[in-house]
Amino acid sequence: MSAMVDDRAFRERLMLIFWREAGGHLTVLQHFAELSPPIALATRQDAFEAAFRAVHSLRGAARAVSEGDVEMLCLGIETSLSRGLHGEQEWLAAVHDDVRAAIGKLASACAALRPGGRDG
Amino acid sequence: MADHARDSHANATIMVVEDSPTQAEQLRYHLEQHNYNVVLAADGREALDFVQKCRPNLIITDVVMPGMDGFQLCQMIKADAALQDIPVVIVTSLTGWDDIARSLECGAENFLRKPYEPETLIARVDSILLNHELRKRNRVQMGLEILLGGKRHFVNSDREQILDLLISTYDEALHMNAELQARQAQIAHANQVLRGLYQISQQLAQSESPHVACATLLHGIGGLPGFSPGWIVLYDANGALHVVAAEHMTPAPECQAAPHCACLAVLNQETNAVGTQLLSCPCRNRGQPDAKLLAITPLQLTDEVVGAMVTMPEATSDKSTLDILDTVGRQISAVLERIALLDRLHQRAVELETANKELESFSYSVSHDLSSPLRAIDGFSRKLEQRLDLSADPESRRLLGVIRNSCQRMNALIKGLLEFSRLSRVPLRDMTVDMVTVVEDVIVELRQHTEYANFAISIDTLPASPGDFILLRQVWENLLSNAIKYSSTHPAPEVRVRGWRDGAFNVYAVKDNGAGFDMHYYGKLFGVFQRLHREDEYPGTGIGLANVKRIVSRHGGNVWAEGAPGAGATFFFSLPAGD
Repeated sequence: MSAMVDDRAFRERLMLIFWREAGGHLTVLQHFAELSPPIALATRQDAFEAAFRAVHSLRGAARAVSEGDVEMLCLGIETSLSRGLHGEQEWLAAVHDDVRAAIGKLASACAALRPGGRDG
Repeated sequence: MADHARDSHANATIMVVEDSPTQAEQLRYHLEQHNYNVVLAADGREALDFVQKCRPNLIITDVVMPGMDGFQLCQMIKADAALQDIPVVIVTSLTGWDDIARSLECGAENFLRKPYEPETLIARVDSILLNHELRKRNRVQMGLEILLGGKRHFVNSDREQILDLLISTYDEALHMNAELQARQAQIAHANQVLRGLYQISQQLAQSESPHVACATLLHGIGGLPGFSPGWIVLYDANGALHVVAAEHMTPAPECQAAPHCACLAVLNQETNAVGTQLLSCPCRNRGQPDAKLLAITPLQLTDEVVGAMVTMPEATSDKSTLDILDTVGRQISAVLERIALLDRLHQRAVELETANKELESFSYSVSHDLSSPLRAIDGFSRKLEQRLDLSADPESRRLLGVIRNSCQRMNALIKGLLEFSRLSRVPLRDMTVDMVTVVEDVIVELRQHTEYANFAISIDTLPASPGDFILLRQVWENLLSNAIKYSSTHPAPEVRVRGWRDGAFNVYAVKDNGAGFDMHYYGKLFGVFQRLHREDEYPGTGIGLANVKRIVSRHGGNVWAEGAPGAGATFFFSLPAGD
């Protein structure tokens, strides 16, 4: 078996792992998106941290499978959450709206990556 | 990396601590490709359990993990006398000094910066394992022997110097990394925008109604990074606003803030604003102090504003944001114009078709109604002719003859017109028509019934075509009788019939060596009652070729001809081959 075939098989396996992993992270992020603003960081530190960890891991996973669009969407959400966590940005309703919209886009972008669900 | 380094550490065990299964699998794949044994742990706690059971030669750990993060794991390993000798590599994005400071505090030996190339990863692992081995052997010395770039170096700098060097190097790396990330983000953003605009453009090209086009556009804007869709309004002929599409936001004309709505006020202004305007509006901010800006992009055709698109840029709106919205605005304006033009074109086609049908109907009625008085004139002229005895003066009899000839000629013209009209209404029967048989049959009939029986004819192989047998026979009858008639003055009249396949069509040709025609008058050739020769030379009504054209057109084919005065003519017609 050639190296190229090996790489392709590995890539397919990795995409399947990514697909499953993304589902778990998106569940955490969507739970966060459903919280009603304004959210006091002090009372929802756990939700912020869980969302941050989820989007951080998803970004790394997206980079591992070379899905640049998903990675950039994750980076935007991660940056907002990081600012919120570090007190650099007050978590206002409009900020939460933006993050919710970005999570929606992220879910759509991940859905489009379903293994076997697209050409190429 | 030198081969001896790899050889000395082949089959070394590396523990990968990573909560992302995808990244863990990728690391394992690259390491196993280079003959390292890999043990996976999903977080710090699991890693601590494993490390007691199988002592790895190296630990590579992620930082952000649930439960116990990478720094805590490293700290615990370095605090355990039995484990502290195991080198720990922290995998980090190097996003801030905090990463470096915490790594130094926890006693990590090395960083691996994300994203890494597989070659860099392997070279780093090889290097760490080899240096670790060298240091174990050189512990009694004052300095350290290290391997860098495949060469051995002996470093006897003190700890502070090494730290200074390390920190300054990372300082530089941090700056470069931040810059690279910013550039990467810009490029990725630009690529996403371009891809989104391209998709919008593709989808708009297929839109056939203003509602579909506007809804498609808003959906496409939702896919652009940094934008949320809103709504699109178009002005009607009286200048009233109509919402044609909305997504994600309640359109201003329908929202509760309408009386105080700033965007509604802008939309109602009778100004020809050029370019996108940004404004803050109560219809959007829901009482929050950080009201988001709305972008209102006029939809403009030439100098006239026909509507507006309202969107909500997510990011701080800069010039490029406005440029993108202006581009999208121009695009939807052009699409709306195209749709309006197509709509007008369609309406005009329907009107023309209706007018054409009315004209056909009128022509049929007139022809039909003219027949009755004409029959009466002819009939009474005949009776008058019978009543006049032979003593009647010759001039009276000549005049009566002229009246009767004119009636008969007019009758022939009316019959032709009725036939022409009938050809547009008669339903087509679909069958495969053997053209050779039809042509031979027509020739036999023409030889029996025409005064021009003396002609030579050659018939090549003719492809069969699907069509209406009776109508196609009429085409051959017209073309062949014309060929015979117009070559009758030639001392040796000849007619040649050919046929061949041309792409999806079968083409047929009838060539004669007769009078021909002047191509200057080609435009009249297939018109109703159009004749290029005097009737006393070649009698006829001038409707035959018009009938040919109508029959062939109804079959989805075409007719054309070429000729020259005195040099004969060739008439062609094509029919869909149908296979």
